Amino acid sequence: MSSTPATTSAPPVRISAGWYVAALIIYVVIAYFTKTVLLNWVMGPLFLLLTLYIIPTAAAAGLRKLKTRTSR
Amino acid sequence: MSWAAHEFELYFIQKHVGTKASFLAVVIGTQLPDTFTKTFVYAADDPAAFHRGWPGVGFSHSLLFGVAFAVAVLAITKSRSWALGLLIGHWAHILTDFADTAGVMLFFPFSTEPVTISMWKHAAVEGRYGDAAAYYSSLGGVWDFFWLLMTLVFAWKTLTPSYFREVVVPADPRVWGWLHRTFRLPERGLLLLYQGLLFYGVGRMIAWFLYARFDAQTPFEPFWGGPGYVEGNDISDSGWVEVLIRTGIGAILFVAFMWLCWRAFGRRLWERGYDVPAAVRGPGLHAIFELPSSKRRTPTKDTEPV
Repeated sequence: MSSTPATTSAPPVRISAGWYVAALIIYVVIAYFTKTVLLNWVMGPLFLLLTLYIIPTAAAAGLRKLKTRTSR
Repeated sequence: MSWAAHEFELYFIQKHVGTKASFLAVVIGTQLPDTFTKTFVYAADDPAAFHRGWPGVGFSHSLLFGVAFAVAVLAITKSRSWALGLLIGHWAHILTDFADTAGVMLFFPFSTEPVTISMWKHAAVEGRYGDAAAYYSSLGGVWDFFWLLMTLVFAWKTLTPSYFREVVVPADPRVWGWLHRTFRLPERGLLLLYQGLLFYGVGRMIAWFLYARFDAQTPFEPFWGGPGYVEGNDISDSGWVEVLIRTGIGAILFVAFMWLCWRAFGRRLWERGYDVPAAVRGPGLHAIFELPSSKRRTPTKDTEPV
């Protein structure tokens, strides 16, 4: 059997296009009304990470904590 | 100046450099000319002359500035992919900016003559909001849209998760690995960080365009040298023949200087530098998730318990 190089076993990350569109709409609406809050070189590039990873992850962790507390 | 085009061209460049240059270095390179100067531009008495001229901070928009920065990074880090990425990113920025009326001093200090094709007006004199409204009322906005289309048509593959996994991360495993470990970001987080720049470009293009149309209500004048309602910000009174001669002399001197620097120390620095070896790069994400310093190591045949 020929030895093939090990590849990352996990399948590539899949994020639905709908999430990107939703994040873009939120970004444009907030940016339009606030201007400098999001239309800058710090918050702008980080917005996608914030909305599609950090906030959902933190929310899920918070919910898990809440569930374990209420189940006790 | 260009706005979102600087974000879109990143992915177009990435498509062509592959693993030869670090994407993060290209990002820093494209922002380099404006990073330390943009804050002061809008407060200057003559923003265009300050931003692009001499005396002023126009030297940050010269070819030599990018070379000097890349050489310094190569000397300190020895990383060829970072030096190359910074240089490509910086040059892409200034070659995009030469389309506005202020132009760029490409061959500073050998020529202080700004080179421009005057496609749209440099409108920093209007303040940040006025500048945005003017840009998205001129061919500048069209220029942004053109680069977005170029990216989506010719470089769409660079946005895919598999490309990020197989090319972007392996080109710079140390820094992506550092981001992964320090901020505890999994592949999904790193991918969103990578795609975030295109997202920012699209978002700011739409938001400022809407601002120009509905808030500022500036007329949309996408013709050469527009918009008409803003006064020109040319920083040179020279005729095109004079510009051509001075720029030509500057170009010759610049090339000669580069050749001398290459012979004197550039080649030595380059040879002393390193490319990320394929053994370290590994297949895709292994590059970062299985570095010795990473805690997430998968067991190999030798380490597997019997």
